[in-house]
Amino acid sequence: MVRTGIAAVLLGLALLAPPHGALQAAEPPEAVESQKAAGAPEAAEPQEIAEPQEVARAIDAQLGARLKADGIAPAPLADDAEFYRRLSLDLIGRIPTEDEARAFLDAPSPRKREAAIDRMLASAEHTEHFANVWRALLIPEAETDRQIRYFLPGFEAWLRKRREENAGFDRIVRELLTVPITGTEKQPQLVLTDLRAPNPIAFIAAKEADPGKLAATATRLFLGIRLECAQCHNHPFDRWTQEQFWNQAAFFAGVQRKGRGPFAPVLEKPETRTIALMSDASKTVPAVFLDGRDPQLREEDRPRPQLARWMTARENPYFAQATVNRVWGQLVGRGFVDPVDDFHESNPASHPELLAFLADDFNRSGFDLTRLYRVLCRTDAYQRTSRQTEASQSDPQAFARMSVKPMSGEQFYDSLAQAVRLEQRPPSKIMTRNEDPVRRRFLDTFGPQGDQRDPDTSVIQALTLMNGPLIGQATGGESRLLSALKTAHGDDRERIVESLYLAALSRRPTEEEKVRIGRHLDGGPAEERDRRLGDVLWTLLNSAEFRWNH
Amino acid sequence: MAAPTPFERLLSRRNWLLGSTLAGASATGWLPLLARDVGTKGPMRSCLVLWMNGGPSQTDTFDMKPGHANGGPYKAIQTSAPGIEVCEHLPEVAKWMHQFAVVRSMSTREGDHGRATEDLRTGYRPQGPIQFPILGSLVSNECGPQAGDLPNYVSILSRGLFRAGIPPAGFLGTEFAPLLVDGGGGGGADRKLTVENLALSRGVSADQSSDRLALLGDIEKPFLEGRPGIAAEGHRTAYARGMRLMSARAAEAFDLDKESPETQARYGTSMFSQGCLLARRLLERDVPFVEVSLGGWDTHYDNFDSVKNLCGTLDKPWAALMQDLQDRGRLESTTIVWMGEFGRTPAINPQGGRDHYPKAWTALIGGGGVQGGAVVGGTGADGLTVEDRLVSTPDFLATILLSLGLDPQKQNLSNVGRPIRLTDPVANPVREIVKG
Repeated sequence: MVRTGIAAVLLGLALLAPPHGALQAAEPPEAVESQKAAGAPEAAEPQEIAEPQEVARAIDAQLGARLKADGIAPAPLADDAEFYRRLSLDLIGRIPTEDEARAFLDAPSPRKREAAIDRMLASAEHTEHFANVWRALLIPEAETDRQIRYFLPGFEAWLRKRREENAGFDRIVRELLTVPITGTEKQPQLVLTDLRAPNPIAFIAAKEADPGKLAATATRLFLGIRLECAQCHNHPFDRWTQEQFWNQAAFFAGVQRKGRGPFAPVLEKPETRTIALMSDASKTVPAVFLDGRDPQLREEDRPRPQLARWMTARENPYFAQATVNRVWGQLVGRGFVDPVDDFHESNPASHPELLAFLADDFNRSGFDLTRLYRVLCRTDAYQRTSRQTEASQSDPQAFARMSVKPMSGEQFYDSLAQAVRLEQRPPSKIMTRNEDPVRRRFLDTFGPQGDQRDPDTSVIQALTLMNGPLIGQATGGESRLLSALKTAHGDDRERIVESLYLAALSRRPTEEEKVRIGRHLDGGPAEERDRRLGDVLWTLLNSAEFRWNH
Repeated sequence: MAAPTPFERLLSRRNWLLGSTLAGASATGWLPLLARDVGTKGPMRSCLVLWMNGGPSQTDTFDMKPGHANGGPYKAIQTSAPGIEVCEHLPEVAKWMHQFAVVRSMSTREGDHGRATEDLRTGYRPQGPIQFPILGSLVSNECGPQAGDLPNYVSILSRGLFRAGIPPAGFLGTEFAPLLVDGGGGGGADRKLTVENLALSRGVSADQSSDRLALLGDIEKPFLEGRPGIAAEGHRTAYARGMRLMSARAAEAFDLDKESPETQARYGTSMFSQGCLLARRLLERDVPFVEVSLGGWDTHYDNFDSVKNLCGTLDKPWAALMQDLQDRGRLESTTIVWMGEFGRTPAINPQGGRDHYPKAWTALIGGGGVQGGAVVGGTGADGLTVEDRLVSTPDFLATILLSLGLDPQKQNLSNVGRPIRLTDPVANPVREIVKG
């Protein structure tokens, strides 16, 4: 019966081809229930699956066949420097250090790219970057609401912990959606008790314990479906109805907070399973899954776990597709469905079979994120240069070359700080690193500029990079990097310039660049030489090549 | 004309980013990017918004209730518009009321500063992931890409209005975000309005800067040319616009010392005074959207002393600005708006304050596109409810757009791939005060 329900949805949504084998992989719901009763972990058991390398080759084969059919010649693979800088930004959230770049470029091993992927995935910096990325997606409210930032140390600690143990993504999502709320009307529950203890409660607090916000966010981020527009009225373009929006919200209908503001205590009335429509408060609707199935809640059931289990079930085709599509989009710059969280009939996937194939693999692996990153980073599609070598490569959704991607504020600040050897202070006891005043100010200028998929530079950013104090100090007389390089290399101008290139752009200068820079260095009297080396660093830091993840 | 700075020399000497000659630049470079579409669309008038941050008390300014318990201690005075009375602490502004329509029937939906600010500035309620642009960015976009040295949208003293994480230009992109001008660090009396990071870093000479920029152009040229697309175009445009702002001509626009001491004295010395004077300099240089913020209107405590002081800050520079715009023939080509994110309770609270009140409040709109000396709507004796012609947020924003000569029903493509109108299609603009 479950299968028929899902199959009906799939038929209804022709664009969502069912992942191969997903239906066979389905566990009967009773099994899930009995596991739960026995207190067993809910993680899906991994199944027999292909080696990451095989999956990567299969992805490239599918993309390649399509490129060929469309008459597009793909760009060549990126050289080691371009690849390594990109990988470092994508997996650990910063550019490589000069030493790391040098070591990677000079390593003879033919399998060094695979080794670098594995090494970075195992690092603490990766878990931190992962936590940054998902905190920004899940709690964007923290950008505007300072109070919510008090929740972030615990929230990020929870994300880091789960990523560090490579918890299945299904488990992470279930924990988020079913975060225990023990408060009652008489005794509501404090939300902020231990600032640093790993805890996803920030999600409830940031969404104001509002059933509509909770349901809409979860549906968009984990199923790729934007129901928000159906909140107030049936949208002419969408198949989702207003009633379905409120059906989802009804799973959270018992969640409430007492008072205003993010610190207000919360409570849950699990017996509440219906919610009033915003447009017509006299009409209430029950909790119903998006596939139209009645969750058949018994009196003792809590509605949130039912929804979380349905969302993350192996049989649910949306969950794996939405997740692999998002991670692909993060790595390659565009989703197969793009925007990555907007699956709907008039926005079909560019490569539906490939998306289904990847979703199936993710599903079979038990929603293993490490494996997913490993597979995707090994593809040629990920490893191609971002340079356009043929005009036919201009459509980013053909994946014929790498897209240039914007950096998050954190990626850019950490990269800049590292390039110029700026020391960052450790986080305070009660806030994350982002609340260091210098860092915060920078993030406010360079932080999220919406969900633009292409890098976007504002005039204020350009002025800050050209004339602002951070780069002014880093490239002027008090530059730490320049004084360190002079100590290391003395008067060896060529080595200093090479180090500047490795520190900022993670590559060595080309012959043409050496000539042009030599001309600049020789453009004045000897006493100007240090200043002119500062000019070179200023130039590199202001270049698009430094500013973008490419 | 002043001698060209190194930037201007650079800009005219070479096409900085593409490394070709100026003649080549005019055909393929970034200069035409900046000039594209000029004159093919755009508003008929510039817009000046005086944004009263915190929510000004209508009962003590433009919707006086003399004789009622809610009315407070201040007297209402006659103005240049027969039948319109304003607070006794706005004697100079009173002389300009014939230029304004007083909308006393504002009735909006949000009573929280953040949400109300977003509502009044975008005209839309939040809808999931749609990033609605604010009014200034919408107008900026209608003007097309920046034509001269100055940006389309300058926002003065309003840093607090732009919350980190919310891109002000929303789905229109940062090209249409405002240039912020603020009071710099410190709280001393000699604070001056500045564009942050407009001046070169300490110790960097103009020649050095010019050399550096030339080096940058050469060094990043192959990288950018190899990656054509909107990102490269945006990067070039942002740097080119930054350089133009650093040019002597643009920097001069921001230099209030170019004004005579008499003029400066007419405006006064407060930061808001400087903001109004700067607004005039920008408007007369054809910047299409300028806003100046004045904060402190969140008068939960001690409302009356606060409002009296704020009116003192507001009155003189606003009137001086009106006079200058009129004297320079700019009044006809400017729409002037006075508003906050909501009004304040007509009832006075036990702390002698007034609290947030979105249900019935007042905003002003005036200048060339507006029937001056008019009153729209009204709130009855106690000021508690709108008695006729309720004006919602979309109604008011659509009225502003109409007065500028723009079509509120025009659509932009949003970040979710759906067309979004300049104002919510439910808008019912106050057409009776908009001149044809």
